[in-house]
Amino acid sequence: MLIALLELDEWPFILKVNLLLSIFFLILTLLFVGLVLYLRIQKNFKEAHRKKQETKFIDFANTFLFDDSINKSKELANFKFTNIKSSYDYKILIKQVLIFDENLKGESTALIKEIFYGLGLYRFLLKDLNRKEWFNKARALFAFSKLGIAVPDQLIMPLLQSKRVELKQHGILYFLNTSKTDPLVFLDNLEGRLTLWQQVLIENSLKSFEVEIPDFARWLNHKEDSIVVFCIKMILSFNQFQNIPFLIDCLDHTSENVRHQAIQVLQAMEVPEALQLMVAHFPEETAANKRSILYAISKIGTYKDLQTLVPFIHKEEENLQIDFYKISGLFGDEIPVKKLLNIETITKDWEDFQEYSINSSIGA
Amino acid sequence: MKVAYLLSKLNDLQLYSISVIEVFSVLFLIYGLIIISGYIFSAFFSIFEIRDYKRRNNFQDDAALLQSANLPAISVLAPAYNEEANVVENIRSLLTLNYPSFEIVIINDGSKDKSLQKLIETFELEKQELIHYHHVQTKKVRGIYKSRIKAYKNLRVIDKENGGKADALNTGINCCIYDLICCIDVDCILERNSLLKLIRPFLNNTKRVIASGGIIRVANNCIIEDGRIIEVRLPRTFLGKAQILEYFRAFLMGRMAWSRVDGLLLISGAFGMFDKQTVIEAGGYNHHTVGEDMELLVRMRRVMREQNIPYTVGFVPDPLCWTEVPESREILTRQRNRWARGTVETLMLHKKMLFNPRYGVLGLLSTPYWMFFEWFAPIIEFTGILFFIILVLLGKVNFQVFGIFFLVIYTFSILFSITAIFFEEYSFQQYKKPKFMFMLILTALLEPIIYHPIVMWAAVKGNIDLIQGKKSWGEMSRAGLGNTGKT
Repeated sequence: MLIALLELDEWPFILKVNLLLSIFFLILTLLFVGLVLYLRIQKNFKEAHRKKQETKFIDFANTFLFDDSINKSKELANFKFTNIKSSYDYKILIKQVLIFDENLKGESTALIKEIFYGLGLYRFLLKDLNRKEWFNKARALFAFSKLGIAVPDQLIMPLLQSKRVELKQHGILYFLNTSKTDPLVFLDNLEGRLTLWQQVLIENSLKSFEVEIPDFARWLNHKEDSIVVFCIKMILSFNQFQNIPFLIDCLDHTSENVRHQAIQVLQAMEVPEALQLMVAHFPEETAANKRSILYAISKIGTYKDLQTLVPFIHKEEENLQIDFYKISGLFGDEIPVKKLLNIETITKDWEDFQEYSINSSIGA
Repeated sequence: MKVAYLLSKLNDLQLYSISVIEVFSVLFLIYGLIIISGYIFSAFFSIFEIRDYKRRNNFQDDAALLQSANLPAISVLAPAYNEEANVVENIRSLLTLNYPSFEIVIINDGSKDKSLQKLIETFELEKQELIHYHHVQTKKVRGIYKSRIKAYKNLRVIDKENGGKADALNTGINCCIYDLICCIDVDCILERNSLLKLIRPFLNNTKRVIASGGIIRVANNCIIEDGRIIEVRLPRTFLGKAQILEYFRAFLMGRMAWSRVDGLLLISGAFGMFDKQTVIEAGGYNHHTVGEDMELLVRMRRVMREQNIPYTVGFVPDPLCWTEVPESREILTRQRNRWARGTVETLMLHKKMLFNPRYGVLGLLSTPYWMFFEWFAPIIEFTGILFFIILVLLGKVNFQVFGIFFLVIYTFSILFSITAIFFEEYSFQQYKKPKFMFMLILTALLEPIIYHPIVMWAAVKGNIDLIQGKKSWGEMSRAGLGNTGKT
C-alpha cells in the first residue's frame, strides 16, 4: 500500500535504500527508547526486590544468629525454598552474608558460614569459579577470600598467573585471607608485575591479619622488581628493623626502582649507617635517586654530608641544584644559600657556590 | 551558425554542471556513510567498555585505598584568573577531597581582581622562599604562599604574571611537589572520591600510565551544597539540555570507545591526571595553542611512541567532575570556536602522525578520525548547505531526493542521541526522575535542527578565525554554580 501510495516502484534505487534506512533508524530509535524505559523499570523493580530480599534476610539472619529455640536446619531449608528463585537472589544474599561477616566476630561468624553453606551460596559460587567468564570467577574469589572459605587450590593457582589484573588480584587476596600460617607464600610463584593497587590491597589485608607477619627479607631477592619494592615498603610498614642490613644491600640492586625504594625506606627508618653507601653511589645514580639521596641526607645526615656531594652535582643538573639549595636551607644559617640564591640564574649561583665550597675547603 | 554554437556550449555547460553535481552528491553520500559507520563502531566499542568497567568495579573496596600510606601523593593544580567571586568556596571544597595525601596548588594567573588578596586574608597565607624548579619555561612567579593555619597545610598559592591557562599550569608543574598532577578548572565541582577513582588506572596497570581522564558532567541547575552536587537536574535552557546530550555522546560513546582501543587524544582540561615526569619530558603545556589540553596529550603520546616506551592512557567513566556549560548562544559560540581552533592547531602541530603507521592506533585511526570527523565535518557540512542553496537557486533540486536524504540523516542523528541516552541509563543513571529522561528524548528530536547548526557555524567560524590569525581564548563569562538550583 505504501509502495503504491508513494509510487515507490518508480523511485531510483538509491532513494529506496535511503527510505529503508530511515525506517530502519526510526525503528531502532523507538527500540532504544523502549530499552531506556525498560532499563528504568527493570532497575526500579530490581531495586525494590533487592530491598525486600535484604529485609527478609536480615530478619532471618538475626533469628538464626540469636534465637536458640528455632530448628536451624529447618529454617535454612525453608528460607532457601521460599526466597531463592534466581541467580540475582543468590547475589543479593552473598552481599548480605559478606556484610554480616564483616560486622560480626567469634561464634556468630561460624553461624554466618553455616548460613552460607546452608543456603547453597557456596555451591553457587563454586559454579561461578568454574565458569569461563573472568568476572564470575573474580566475584566468587572475592566472596571466598572475604569469608576466608577455602576451595580446592587447583582452582585458584592458575588464576595467580592470569593476564587479567582483576583475577590475579582476587587470587592474591584469596590466598592471603585463607592462609592459616604463611599468608604470602604465593609470592614465591608469582609471575609478572605486582601493581600498586595489588600492593595496597595486600598491605591492607596484612594489617588485619591475626597470625604472625612473615619476614619480608625472604623476597628481597625475588626476580620480579615490583615484589622486591613491595617487600621493602612492608619492612618499613611492619617495623622489621632486623632487616636493615638487607635493605642496605638493596642499595646495590640492579633495578633503579628497588634502589629508590631502599633509599626512601632507609631514610624513613633513620639508618645513618646507610648514608655512606648512598653518598658513595651518588655520582653514578640516576637523577631521581640522586634527589632521594639529597633528601635522605636532610633527614639523617649532616651539612657536611651534603657538602661532599657538591663536586658531583653538575652544571647542567639545574633541578638537582635547586634540590640542593632547598635542602641546604633546612640546615639553617650554616651556609650562605640565601645570599647566593637568585633563581633566575641558578647555574651561575651554582658555580659561585662550588667555588665558595672549594675555597672554604668544605667537602670538595 | 553562431546560435547553434552557443546552444551546443550551453548544452556542454549543463552536462558539465550535472556531472559536477553528481560527483559532489556521491562524495557527500560517501562521507555521510563513513561518518555513520564511525558512529556505529564507536557505539559498539563503548558499550563493551562500559560493561567491562561495571564488571571490574562491581565488587571493589575503595576504603582500603584510603587507609594506605603507600598511595602516590597527588598535586592538584588549579589555575585561577579573576575568580574573586567563587575562588574561596571552590578551594574549601577542594580541601575536603577524600584522599590520603594531596596538595592543592592554586595558580593566580595575574588576576586583575582581588582574588589573591581574598585568598591571603581567608587562608592566612604568608609568602615563602621563592625557590622552585624550572622544568618548563613560564612567566615570572611573583610569590609562593602557604598558610599559617595547620588545617590548610596542603594548600599552596602561586602568584604569577598573566600568561594564560597553559602558562599557569606550567607554573604549577614547576612549583608542585608530587609526581602525579591533577589539572582541574578551579570552578568545577569534584566528587569527594574523584581522586581515588581517577588514580585507579595508574595503580592497577601493568603498563606505564601517562595520563588518566574522567567524564565531565553538566552541573547547570543541579542542587549544590557545600561545593557538592546533592541533586542532579537538567539545565533550564534548551542549549543546556542539548549540551547534556552532546556530553553523553562525547564521553559515554566517543571517549569510551577510544579508550577501549587505547586511542584517546583528549583528556578534558577541566579534570585530568598526568604523570608529571612524562609531562615534563614532553615539554609541558603549549601556550601557543588554545587547545592546550588536547595538544599536551597528543604530544605526550607522540613522545612515548617515538621513544618506544610501552604506555597507556586511562579513562574512568564515573561521573567525577561537574562543570558549568554556557547557556547563552554567544558564549557557546565562542567556546566552540575555540575548541575548533584548538583541534586544528593540534592536528597541524602533529601532522607528522597522520596516517603514519609508526604511531599505531594514533596514526592510523585517532588522528585521521579527528581530522575527518572533528575538523572537516563542520566544514563539509557547511559546504553541503552552500551547495544545496546553489542548487536551489539553479533550480536543480529534486525535493523528493532532498526530503529522503534529510530524513535519513535526521533519523540517524536522533538514533545516535537516543543511543547515548541509553548508555547513560545503562551505566550511571544520574538523572533519576523519569521526566528528565523524557525531556532529554524530546531535546534529541529538536537538537539536530536547532542546536546543531549553531555549533557547526561556530566551528566553521573557528576555522576562519584561525586563518585570519586569531589566537585569543575569548571572554568566557559564567553565571556561576554557587547558587545554581539552590532550593
